[in-house]
Amino acid sequence: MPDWNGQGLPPVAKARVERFAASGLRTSLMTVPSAVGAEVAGFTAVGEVMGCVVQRIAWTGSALGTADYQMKAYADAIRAGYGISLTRLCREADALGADGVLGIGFTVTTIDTGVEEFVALGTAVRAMTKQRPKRLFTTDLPGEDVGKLMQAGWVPVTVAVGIAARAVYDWNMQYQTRVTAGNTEVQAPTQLITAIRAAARTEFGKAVRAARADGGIVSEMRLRSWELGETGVAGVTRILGTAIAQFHSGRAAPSSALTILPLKRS
Amino acid sequence: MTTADPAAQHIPEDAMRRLAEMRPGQKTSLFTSDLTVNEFLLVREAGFRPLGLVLGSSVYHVGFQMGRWSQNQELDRLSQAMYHARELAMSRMEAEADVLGADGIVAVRLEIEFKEFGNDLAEFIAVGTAVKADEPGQWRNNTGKPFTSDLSGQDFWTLVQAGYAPLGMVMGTCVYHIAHQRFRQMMSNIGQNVEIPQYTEALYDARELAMSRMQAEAEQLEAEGIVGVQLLSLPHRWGGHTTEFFAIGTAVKPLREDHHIAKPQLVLPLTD
Repeated sequence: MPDWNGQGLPPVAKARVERFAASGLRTSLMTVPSAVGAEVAGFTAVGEVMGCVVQRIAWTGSALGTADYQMKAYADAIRAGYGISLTRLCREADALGADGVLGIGFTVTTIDTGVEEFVALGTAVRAMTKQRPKRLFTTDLPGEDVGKLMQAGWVPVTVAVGIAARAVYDWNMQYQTRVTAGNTEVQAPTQLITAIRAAARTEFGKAVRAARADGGIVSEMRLRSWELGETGVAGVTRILGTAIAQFHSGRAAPSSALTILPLKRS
Repeated sequence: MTTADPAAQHIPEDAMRRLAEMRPGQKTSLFTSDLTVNEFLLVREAGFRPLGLVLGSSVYHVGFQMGRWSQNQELDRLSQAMYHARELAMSRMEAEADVLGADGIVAVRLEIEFKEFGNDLAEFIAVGTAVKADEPGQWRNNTGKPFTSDLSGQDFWTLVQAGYAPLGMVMGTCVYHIAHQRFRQMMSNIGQNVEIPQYTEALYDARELAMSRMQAEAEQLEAEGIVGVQLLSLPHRWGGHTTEFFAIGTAVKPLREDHHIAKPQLVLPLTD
C-alpha cells in the first residue's frame, strides 16, 4: 500500500466510498425515529460517513513560553482536530453525492501521552428535490430534530464549534483560598472562566456568521479547569452546536404545536 | 403534519433553495441559543424570539464554620456564601441579557460545581437564553430587570398559553447542621424502632427556613404564586450532618383574566 501523504482521503476510506458508489448500497447510523424524522423532512440516507485525525498535542506544561501562550496553542490544536475530522467527513459525503450530513457526533480519545484522536461520525443524506444546495450542510442534530426544524421553516447549515483555553497566575489566589479567608469570590479563576467562555461563545458566533446563517443552537457547552500550583489556574472549554437558517417567508413559522399528553409513565 | 410525503409539504425545495442562496454580505440579526430544538420551536411559538445565550459565573471560596456537635443550628455563614455566590452569577447573567435588550431569560440553569482544587472552592454558574417578545409589552418585573425562569421551553409555552407570565426565579437557601445524638440517647435507642425527634425537627426547621425565604422573594416581586418549585437537599462536601436545603422556583403573575389551557390530545407512544 502506498504511503498516504495526508492530502485528501486515506486510500482505504477512498476505496470504501468508491465501493459504496459502485454497489449502490446505502447504510445509516440513524435510529428508527431519526430516520423517520429525516424522511419527514424529505431526506433519505445514502451512507454513514466518518472523518478522523490523530495528532500530537505539543502541550506539556513545561517552561516553554507562558502558560497562557501554551493554552492558546492547545486550543489551536483542538480546533484543528475538530476542523480536520469534519472536513474529511464532508469529503466522504461529497464523494457519495450527498446534500448533507445529519447526527454528527464527535469523540476525542487520548491514545498516548499527548496524542489525541478526533473522530466525527454521521449519516450522509440526499434531499428529494431538484434544487441542490451550494454546499453540503452538516448538523449534530438527529433526524427527529431536523424534521421538526424543517417543518417550522428552519434548515441546518453547518456544525459550529467554539474552543478556547487560557491560563492565569495571580498571587492573591493563595490568600483568597486559605481556610481563614471566609466567604469571598476568588478573582483570578472567576475572570479566567468568564474570559474563556466569552472567547468560545464569540468563536461560535463567528462560525455561525461565517456560514451566513440566522442563528445557532448550542447543544453542548463543557468547561474543564485545573490548578497550576497554588497561584495559577487553567481552563479549556468547548461549545458545540448547529447554525440554522430560516427559509420560509413571513414572520410566523408555518407549523403549530399540538398539545398531547403521553399515556405512559415518564 | 404526519404525512411523510415531502412533495405535499414543499419544504425541502425551499430549504435547499435557501442553502443555495447563501451569499456573503447578507444582513442578518444573529442569535445563539442554549435551547433544545423542541424548546426553541416552542419558545418561538409562544411569541418570543431568542436573542442570545447568556451566562454568568463566579468562582467562590466558601468560608468555614463549625456546627456545635450536639446542637441543631443554621450555619449562617455558609448560607450567606451560597446566597451571595448564586446572586453574583445570576446578576451577571441578567446584566448580559440587559445589554442585549432582552425582555427575559428562559430555561435558566443554576449549577454549582465544587472544584477538585483549592479548599472549598466552587464555581457557581447561571446559563439561559435571552428572549424578546414579538409583541411589545410589560414583560420586565418590578425591579426593572428582565424576567428569569428556570422552566423548560415546554413548560414556558404552557404557562404563556394559560395566560401567565414569569416574573423571576426565586430561591431560598439554608445550610443546616443537624445535631449528633448524645451518647445516653443513642444507648437508650439501641434495638428499638423509634422516631428521633431532634432529627425530624432539624429537617423541618431547615426546609421551613429555605421555603420561607423563597416565598419572601416572591412577595417582593408581587407575584401571584410560584410554579415549578424544587426543594433540594444538597450535601455538597460538608459531611453527613451539614446539608444545604435549597428551594427554587419561578414566580408568576397573570397576564389576563381568563385562564384557559387547551385540553391535550391523549396519545399512546409505541416506544419505550
